[in-house]
Amino acid sequence: MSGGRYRVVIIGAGIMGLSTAWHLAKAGITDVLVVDRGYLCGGASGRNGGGVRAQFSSETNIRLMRESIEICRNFAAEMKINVWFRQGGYLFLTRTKQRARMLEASAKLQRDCGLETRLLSPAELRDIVPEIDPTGVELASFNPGDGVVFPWPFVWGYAKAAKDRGVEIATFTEVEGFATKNGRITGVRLVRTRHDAIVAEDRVERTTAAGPGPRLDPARTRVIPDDAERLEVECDTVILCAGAWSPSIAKMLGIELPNKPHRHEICSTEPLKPWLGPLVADLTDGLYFSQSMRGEIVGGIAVEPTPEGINQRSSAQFLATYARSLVRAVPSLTRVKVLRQWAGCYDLTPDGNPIVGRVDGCDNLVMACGFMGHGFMMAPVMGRLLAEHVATEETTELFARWNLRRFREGKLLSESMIIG
Amino acid sequence: MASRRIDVRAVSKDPTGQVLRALYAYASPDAGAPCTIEHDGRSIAAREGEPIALSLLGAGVDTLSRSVKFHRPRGPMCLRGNCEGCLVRVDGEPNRMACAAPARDGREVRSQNSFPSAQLDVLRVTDWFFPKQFDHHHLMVRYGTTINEVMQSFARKMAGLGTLPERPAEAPLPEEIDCDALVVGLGPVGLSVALALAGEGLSVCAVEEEPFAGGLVRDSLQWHSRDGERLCGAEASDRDLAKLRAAGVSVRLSASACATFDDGTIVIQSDRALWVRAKARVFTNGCHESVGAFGDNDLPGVYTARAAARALRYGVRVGESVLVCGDEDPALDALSDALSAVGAKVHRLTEGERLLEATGSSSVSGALVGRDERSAHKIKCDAIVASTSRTPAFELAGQAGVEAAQDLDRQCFASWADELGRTQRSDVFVAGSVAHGGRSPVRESAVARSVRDYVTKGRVR
Amino acid sequence: MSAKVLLCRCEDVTLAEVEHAIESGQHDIESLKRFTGFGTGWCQGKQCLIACARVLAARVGELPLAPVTPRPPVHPMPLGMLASLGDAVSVDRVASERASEDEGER
Repeated sequence: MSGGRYRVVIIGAGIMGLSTAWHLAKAGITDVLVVDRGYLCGGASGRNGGGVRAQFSSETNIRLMRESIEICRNFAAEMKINVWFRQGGYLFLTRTKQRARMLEASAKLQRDCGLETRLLSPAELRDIVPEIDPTGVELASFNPGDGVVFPWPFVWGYAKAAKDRGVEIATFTEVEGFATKNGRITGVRLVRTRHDAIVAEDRVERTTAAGPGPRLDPARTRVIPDDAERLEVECDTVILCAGAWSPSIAKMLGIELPNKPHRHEICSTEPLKPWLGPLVADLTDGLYFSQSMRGEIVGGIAVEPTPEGINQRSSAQFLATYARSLVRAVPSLTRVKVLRQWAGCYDLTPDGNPIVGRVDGCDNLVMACGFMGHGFMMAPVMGRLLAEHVATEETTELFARWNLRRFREGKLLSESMIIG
Repeated sequence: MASRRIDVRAVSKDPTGQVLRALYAYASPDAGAPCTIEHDGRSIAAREGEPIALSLLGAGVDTLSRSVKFHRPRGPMCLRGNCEGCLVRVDGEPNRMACAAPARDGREVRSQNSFPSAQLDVLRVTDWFFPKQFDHHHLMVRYGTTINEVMQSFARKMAGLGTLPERPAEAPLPEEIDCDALVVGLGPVGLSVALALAGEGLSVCAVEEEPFAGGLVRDSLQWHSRDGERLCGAEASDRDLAKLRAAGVSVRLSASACATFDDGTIVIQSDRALWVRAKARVFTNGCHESVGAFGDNDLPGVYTARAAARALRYGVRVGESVLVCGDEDPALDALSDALSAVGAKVHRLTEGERLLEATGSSSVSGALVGRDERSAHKIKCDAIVASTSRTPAFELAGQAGVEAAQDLDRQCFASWADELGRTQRSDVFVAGSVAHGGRSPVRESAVARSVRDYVTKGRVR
Repeated sequence: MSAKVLLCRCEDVTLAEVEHAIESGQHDIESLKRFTGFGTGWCQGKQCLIACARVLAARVGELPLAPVTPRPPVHPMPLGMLASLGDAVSVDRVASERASEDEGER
């Protein structure tokens, strides 16, 4: 990459951007540049729990996710990299009557859409996971077709396949601004950082309650050096897939997005021999956990109040909240140890639905953000739809519905099965 | 297997008497009451309170587990809770480090991830099947979805180390501690900083993950001077610790500061959690030590120098015939002398020679050494001490927001601090070998004053 | 000689594997960690990070500016003890949601 011109510039080399790049390349559009401020898997695509499910509460999401699951099943054979997709099902628990009624309605809708979702009484829970303590559970639902993947190779698989077809992927390359003309983006201004000179929100925070601390060695702080390579690339279309960073990039174009970044934390335990089949999710407190292919219990929980803003540092509050809820669900986990915790950013919209499609007033900008906490599982199918949208320039009913303008027009949507 | 317990009466060749002194300080018969633990159905004589890894090593058992993918034999390597070599199931709890679990009468110890036993595991074939590496990314991806799914289901069964505990355990209520300063790590620097902090009038909580204080001084086999007396490492450390306690510092031993956050630090002390809210945190938690990169460097019987020295303190010699090598370090000479004194045959490398490979099937039975592969010759030994230079344990300070950065001189990473121990975070301080700056040592009294200035005035500068 | 050189014992990552990963384009320490899995096991990198960083340095010319992000915990912590930290540190949304539902039904 040395300046030049691309038909499509994709901002964000997460799963959404790379899936889109791969589908564009497959459709013959290989004149594509994907840029990312950090390394592959550095954002939410490398920090999520790897869940892939079709149990949603809206028909759109259920149908889209059925396709994503099919893609996951064949991903290893098609993309020649193991993603360890395992269909152990998703087991949703509710602990309040109100949520139980919502779960019933969703399960009915899911069955109407062809899923094998079934409702389980607390006593029946143990048929699926014998170690679960059903005390306090009102109702559960189980769809055996849902599953989990290992997120990292999924990202690498798309990246390699896209590259093999001619797509350029520039990591450690940050967007600094845009060139626009007559309501169109004509160029993207980029800066290349050193391999390891990324700005990592999970590492350094220079102020404390007591005030800013001393800065000991400014040369060592993780800012972009003055002599960094800067360049501008021209393009026909820009796709913004920067997840939680999307609002700040859209702002460079004068576009205010309604989605907000919120920290979400995860942790994983020591590896144990397999005992847990499904991913278990408690809709009441946002707890979820599954057993990875390596045997670790990987899970998270919603911690309130979730601070708004980009923040990837870890907290004790999360650990204690998660542990308390997890050992309530599975008491024999009390002596199992946490090995690692980390955080990523959810990309939350006011109505729980994503922002996808073209932006009024900026003709050649296509959005693909606001995927809450399930952008990863949506990406396999969304990449195909986005690539079709860019290739054909046709707007489907779905893209019209998910368009940014709904917030201006007050036509908000709904989705109640969001974890965390 | 032959016992590796040292008979104190049989110690010879100890002209300065320091080895005996060290042994008597900790390996004398009254160090812990005799007890019996059970290992894979076999009774093992142990001493109450000593690390299980050393009870087993003392009984000649050095292969404790199998590695996660290749099923390579593994045994204790660091003996200080920093490696995975000694993971065993203890009283139904999976993945306990045998080096950190104390022996108690009747404790049940089981090896994990092996069939039929850790000594002889048929799943070792994995190791031979993948002679260079295990490319899990591309395993069986070329034969379609069905074959790939079969591979995955097999791989899942092979994954994981221990099994889920059968029953839950009640955790005791946590203890909440508020203090001016939390000092993490009671090696020589931590002891000194904590004492100085108490001298500045601060309320200090000091935590040390080992059941004793002293760090490298304790594990050393040299004499130390305290109050005009010549003491062995353990005695000197205990003397320092007594002063700390006398100064009013709240000392917690066997207490690991596991995770530190802006609002507090989680410390696990034996079976209980502590939540420590300190105005200032001081990290003096030292360094890591590892073995070098040579062939089969993970074979049971390969130890760091510190592990071998520590074993001696518990009255166990790591082998009868020991190759001692590694990066230049005066401690290696002292260790060699001590091993000789307790009756082990010690091998050293000659000028220009290096260790190329450890040999043996389930534990060390020899070593290939030489200037290069062509001139390699074999040494017969049952233990290898192969230490690399120590590197800063920057992780905990890093969690607190202190950046670790490259140190090109030492080819490692270290926490950034100025000569007063101050870091990017005004409430976090580092001292000792955690910190960057081998050329301008961070002095403990200066660090203590920085901490005092912060705690009493709210901020530094 | 056919012996393996283990750089990361916890995850059975060999020197050959790290070298192969660097050759295949993993030129920064975070990517190298993710691709090989070093530092993601029991010890979380206490033993292997330096060894892998030095191999990387030998191939790309210099030690990385900084290590991989150190993540809590330094030593494994049992879930039961974390749960016991309870009200001092955690929140229980089930309890609060149940309480508000009970209130609503009353």
